[in-house]
Amino acid sequence: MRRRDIIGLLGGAAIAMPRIARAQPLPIPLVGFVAGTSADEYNPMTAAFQRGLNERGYVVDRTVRLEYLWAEGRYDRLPALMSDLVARRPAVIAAAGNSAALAAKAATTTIPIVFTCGDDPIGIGLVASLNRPGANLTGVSFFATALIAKRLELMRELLGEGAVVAVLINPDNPTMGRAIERIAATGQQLAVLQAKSEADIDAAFASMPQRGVRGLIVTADPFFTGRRHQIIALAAHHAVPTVYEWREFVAAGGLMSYGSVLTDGYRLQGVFAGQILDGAKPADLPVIQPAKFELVLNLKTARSLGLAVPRLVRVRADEVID
Amino acid sequence: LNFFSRKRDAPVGAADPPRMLRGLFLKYVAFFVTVVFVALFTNGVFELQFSVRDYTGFSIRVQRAHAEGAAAKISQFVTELESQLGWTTQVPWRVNTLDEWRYDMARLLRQVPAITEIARVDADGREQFRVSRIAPAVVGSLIDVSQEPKFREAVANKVYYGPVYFLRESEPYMTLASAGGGDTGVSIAEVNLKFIRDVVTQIEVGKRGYAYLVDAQGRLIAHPDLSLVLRNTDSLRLRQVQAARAGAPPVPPDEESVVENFQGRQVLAAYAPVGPLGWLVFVELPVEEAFAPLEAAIHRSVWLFLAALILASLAGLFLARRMVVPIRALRLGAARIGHGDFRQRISLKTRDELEALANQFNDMAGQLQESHADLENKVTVRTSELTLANQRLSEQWERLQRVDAFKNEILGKVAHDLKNPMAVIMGRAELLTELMAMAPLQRDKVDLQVKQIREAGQRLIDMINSLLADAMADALDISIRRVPLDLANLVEEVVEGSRPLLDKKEQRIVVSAGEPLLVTGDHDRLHEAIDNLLSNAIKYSPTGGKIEITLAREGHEVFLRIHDSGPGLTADDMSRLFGRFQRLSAKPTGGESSTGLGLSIVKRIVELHGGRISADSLGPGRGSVFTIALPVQPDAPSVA
Repeated sequence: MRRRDIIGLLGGAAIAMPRIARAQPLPIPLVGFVAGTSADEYNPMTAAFQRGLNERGYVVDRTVRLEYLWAEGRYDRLPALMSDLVARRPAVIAAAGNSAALAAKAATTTIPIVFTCGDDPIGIGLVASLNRPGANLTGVSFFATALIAKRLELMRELLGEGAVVAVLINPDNPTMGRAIERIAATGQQLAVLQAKSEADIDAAFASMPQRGVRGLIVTADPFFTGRRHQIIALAAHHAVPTVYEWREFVAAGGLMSYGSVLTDGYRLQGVFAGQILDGAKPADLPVIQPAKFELVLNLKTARSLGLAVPRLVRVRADEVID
Repeated sequence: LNFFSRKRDAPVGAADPPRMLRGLFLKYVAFFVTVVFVALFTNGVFELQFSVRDYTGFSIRVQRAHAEGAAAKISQFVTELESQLGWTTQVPWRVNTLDEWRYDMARLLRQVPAITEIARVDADGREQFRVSRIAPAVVGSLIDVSQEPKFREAVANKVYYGPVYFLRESEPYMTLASAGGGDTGVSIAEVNLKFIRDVVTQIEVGKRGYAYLVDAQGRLIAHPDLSLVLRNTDSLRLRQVQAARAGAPPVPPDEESVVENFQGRQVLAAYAPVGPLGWLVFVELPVEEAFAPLEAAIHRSVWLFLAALILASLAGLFLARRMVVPIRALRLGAARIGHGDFRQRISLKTRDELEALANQFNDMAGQLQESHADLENKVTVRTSELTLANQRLSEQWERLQRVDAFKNEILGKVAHDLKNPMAVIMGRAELLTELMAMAPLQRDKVDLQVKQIREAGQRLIDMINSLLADAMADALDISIRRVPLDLANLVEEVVEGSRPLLDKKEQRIVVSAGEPLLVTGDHDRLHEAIDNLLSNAIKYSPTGGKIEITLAREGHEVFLRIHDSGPGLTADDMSRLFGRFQRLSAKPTGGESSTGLGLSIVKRIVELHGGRISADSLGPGRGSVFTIALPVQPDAPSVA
């Protein structure tokens, strides 16, 4: 520290003394959280999102208004919800899931958007580059679709090589095409089941015995996440060993999950929203990818299914629910 | 009369002295405050300068310690990875079954989350088996990696640290390879360096300090702000990174310790190298926080300085007051003494030099008072002496005036009055000359003429004598002795003295004086006056006439009346009676001579005694009365 700095500090100290901070009453910024699913089953995620905001120093209803818009599983409602929201000029739009993200991108090119994305955001056209998104969007990618093969591997290890395994896909999810491509790339026989409504889910499960399906892979989709209790109940009912993307399914009674941590992703989305409220540009914030993948195993469910979990699977389990 | 008082109009200690004193007061205070200000300020600045230097050095050493701690942790992280990986190369590929390998690898992946993918390569450099967190396991691909650095260097050095690369543009990765001895082959791991972030973010540096990691090429590997890492930020634009790569000392000189960080904010930076990797870990702390204690100290110093300055001002005021008030008292006291108030004493009880000074002033005033009183006395004495001398001088001057006037008068009168007898003498002498020339000499005529001449000569002599006596009395102002004397006695003496003349003219004298009449006066002079009056009475009373003298006391005066039986006084006589050289219309009955001076002398003598003289006449032929009134001797018993 040089001498003039000291003098500067001295002077500054003298001048700074009587300074009185005068807070301008600014309007509390609005953050709109849009998801294709329903509120009740998304509590852990919205809580994680709020935690992320808190990490950046934002407190809901005090320094930020947070409004949730739920499509209740009807992805076709998302564009309308989004345009309603855009009309209210929110400071940030938080879009949960691929469909919501694409709807948001379609609705505005100026309002910053923070998304969570199950697949490669470049692949579905959300951003041009992961580390330099460039436009008004950034967010978290779970790269869930990429893990379908990995989950299939798990299923094979659990059920044996020859078993017929089905994949449940939401046809409204834009990653569906890529998911099917991925499955094809594995070179293995996979039955593809589609569902975009609760009835569809019921129907999908009902169709399984008929198609000889012995195991199920549920792809990452907010609608499925929001209907996890239905899915888990159906899986139990039909005694179908199912592997999910997220640990939330396993915690609720699902057999097994392999993937990144969903709540981590939503927390990071909240952090992004906070950074943007602080003045950061989405274009400067690289899309974050998960580095941590966890295998969660519910041995209770396995027992009820009469499954013997092999040593190789068990050793990889990061969390075992018993 | 005060010869030492300086007449000045300005009142003592009024309008202008307070201004002067206030000047002194302010000077004292200003001087005191200036001295304290300079002392405190100099001290403060020096102290601050030293504490700034010390604190900066201290902060940087602390930073350096943080950086070394961080480097040790990162080293430990990498070393652990290495040892975990090394563990997989303890046994040759052939020894274990595939299932055993998969189990081991799965366990390794679970235990070491940073490893995303691990491949087992046999001693020939062929990949036997690969497991990943993302992709399904690959068995027996037999891909030849024997020519790749990760294999060759691992075999050569037991361990290989690959360069940092970015997966999918944004994920920092590093290849870590470990080789066992002999034919155990090589384990090659792809390490997601985001996990180092956990290590780096756990490094606590103050409240807002942070650490970050830069690889040997200057690429950012780990930073609490993940975005910077994911964007593959070039850290070489930072001066501290450049300096560190150029081999700067870990603790930079003071002036290089404050640099800009990625966000362009001022930070205090230090770094430490991380083990064998050639990485550098930087520890940065925002200057505001780093120097917050310093700033607090400066604030404290400023407040202390201000407080000390206020105290100094108050002390200055107090001391100046203590100085100035006694000085003012001294000054006022001295001014009063200076204006002649020698009784003024200055009362100071300051128990210091000022009190001593006041005492000296008082001593001086005392001495002045004494010498002044002395002088006053001398002046009084001299003044009364002078007054007396003046009085005498003016009396003398008056007398001289009188003498001079008398001289003039006498010269005039003499020229006129002495001419008559001289003319008689001259005429008779001519006649006598003629008679002497006649033959026969007529004796009787000659005798007559001679007689006439002699008489005229006698008259001249009388006149001159009388003149001289009068002149003497008048001019020399013969002093009157004042003694108590009995006027009746005196009259008797005078009558006895004139007895021959009375007898010669057969005149009768009746003196009626019942009692002793005491007056204060000069015996000889009063005798002369009464004698003169009696002589006149004898002179102008006919032979055989009667003279009456009455003495009587009336009130506070004694009256002496001499009543002759002469022709009396005409009105013309009355007016000229007491002048000099005045002749009355009556002629002395016995042919006596008269100079005309007698009555004026009498009048003078009487007046000198505080009395008065008057003349009266009962009418022509019925004689005249001369009355002398003299004051009774003050303590004489009153008759009336």
